[in-house]
Amino acid sequence: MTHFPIVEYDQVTDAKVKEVYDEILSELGFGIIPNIFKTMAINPDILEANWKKFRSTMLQGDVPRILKEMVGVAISQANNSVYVLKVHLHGLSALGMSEEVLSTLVSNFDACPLTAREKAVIKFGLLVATNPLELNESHYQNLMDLGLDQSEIFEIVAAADMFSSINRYTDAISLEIDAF
Amino acid sequence: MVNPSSESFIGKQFESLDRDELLIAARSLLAETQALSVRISAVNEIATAINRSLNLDEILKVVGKQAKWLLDFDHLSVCLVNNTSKRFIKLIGTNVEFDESAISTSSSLYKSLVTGQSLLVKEASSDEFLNQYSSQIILALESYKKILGVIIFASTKPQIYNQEDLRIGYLLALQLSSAISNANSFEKLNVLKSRVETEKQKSDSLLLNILPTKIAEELKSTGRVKPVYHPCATILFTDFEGFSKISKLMTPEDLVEELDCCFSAFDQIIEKYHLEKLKTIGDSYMCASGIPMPMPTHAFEMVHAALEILQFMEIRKQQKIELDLPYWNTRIGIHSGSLLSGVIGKKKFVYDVWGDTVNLASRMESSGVAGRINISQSTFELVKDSFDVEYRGKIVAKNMGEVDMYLIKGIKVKPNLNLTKSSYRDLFETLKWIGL
Repeated sequence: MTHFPIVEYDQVTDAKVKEVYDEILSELGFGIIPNIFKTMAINPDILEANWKKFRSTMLQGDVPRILKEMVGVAISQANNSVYVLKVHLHGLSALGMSEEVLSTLVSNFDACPLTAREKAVIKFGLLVATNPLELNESHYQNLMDLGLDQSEIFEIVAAADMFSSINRYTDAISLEIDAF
Repeated sequence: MVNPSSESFIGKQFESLDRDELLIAARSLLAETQALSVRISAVNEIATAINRSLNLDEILKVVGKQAKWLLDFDHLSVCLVNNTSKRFIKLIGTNVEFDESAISTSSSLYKSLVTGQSLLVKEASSDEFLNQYSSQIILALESYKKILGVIIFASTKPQIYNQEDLRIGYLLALQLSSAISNANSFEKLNVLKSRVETEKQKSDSLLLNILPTKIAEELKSTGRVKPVYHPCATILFTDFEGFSKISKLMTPEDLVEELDCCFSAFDQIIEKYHLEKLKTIGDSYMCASGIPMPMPTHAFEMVHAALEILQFMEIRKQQKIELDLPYWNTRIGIHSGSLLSGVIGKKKFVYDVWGDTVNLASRMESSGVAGRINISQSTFELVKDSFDVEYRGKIVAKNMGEVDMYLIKGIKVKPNLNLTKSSYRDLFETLKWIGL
């Protein structure tokens, strides 16, 4: 049972909340408003700030969204955070990716049919979220050698950081999985 | 890219595998199929991004940023054919020397550029361009059967690309070809557009040179100019006395040069007073005041301009006398009244005026006196407070009967009023405005 109310679209009275909900519906591409945002309707400013952060981290930038989603799934798996794992697996399948690829990512990383660059990005993102103090110059250099520039590496750090925070939030409030 | 797990299944009969092995095999094949589908969706993403721009450099920048998520490579470049020369652009990897003449005719790059084939190099021989990279995928960029260039993916690791990678690269090459072709067409279109713009400016400025701004705009927007009735305007004619006699003493070139010098000076003078030049007919110069825009001081401005024209001609005359050359004396005639203005005809547009006022203005000139400004009664009424005049009496003008004529003596000296010409004009306008 979620500790905060899940405010459905029809129940919204606040203008700002409605505006954010409309943006999520038209821009996210899932056809729904994920429960995580519905629980934030209690504080319109925080809802707006989180949506904007999500939008600029995941829906904008140069690194493909699908790769950032994969980073998110890998992190949620490592954190054993069920909500994000389910929602983003759904998101990935909507983008053409499936659990099969992702399970190989975890079970047999070397055999996973992704490019060396994609694997390096996922490994790096996982480290950002789970063991940031272990990161050193060589990790950054490795991505640079693979042709990534500073802004792309920043996008990956930002995505990993956002997923860690989403994991903590959804776990803390025992968020229910959306009905897709 | 060769996947070790799937490789291990190749050549093995599925029948010989046990249940667990089959499960792993099925999973692995499924994962690969899905990964391929992801790469196709990545091509779609790149296609969307590159088709957002019609600028070649921007398109290549997007390819440089996005293509790295499609395939593994250490080097990515594009070689574009521009007429006979080639432009090499490295997008990712260490710098490469590009010497067009050093490209071997047996290299895959050469073959691809000539035949438009897409080629897979598994282990580069020394003949290859970029032979420091063992594995290469070279894809022709083609649009409407024209080879635009190639895109090259290369890796130092030998044998890392397979047919699947070639096909993925081919999908990108298809999209890139159409984006480059669009960008080229857009550039051509822009060149044409700017040429059209330049020509339009030229024709606009020509039109403005022969027609007043307001009339040129009307002609451009409606294709015609409606004749306009002006209840009161002033017309001036000048003529050089004894022109034909003196011109016989000059070469035609000198004659035209002298006329050009005088009329150019007149042009400058009348522009200062916001008058409208109408035309020159031989040695006669014709201009109007108070058209196409009404001007309350039309007669006043015209007489001032006429005084300056005479002043200029006087200076010119002194110069000629000093050089012992023939000179012209100028007659000026001015009349004010109602007239019609407009543009007639379809070719060689001329802004012209019609009416008795025009005819009488012409008579004022022909009945005038050399070196003087001859004005009619109606002009006199409009400027009598500003200029000293000399009444000539009634003089017979051709087809007009007897007409009152006045010669301008000069600007009226106003005692106790130390006014400059411009402030005097302001004062005149104010007095007119308040009905004095």
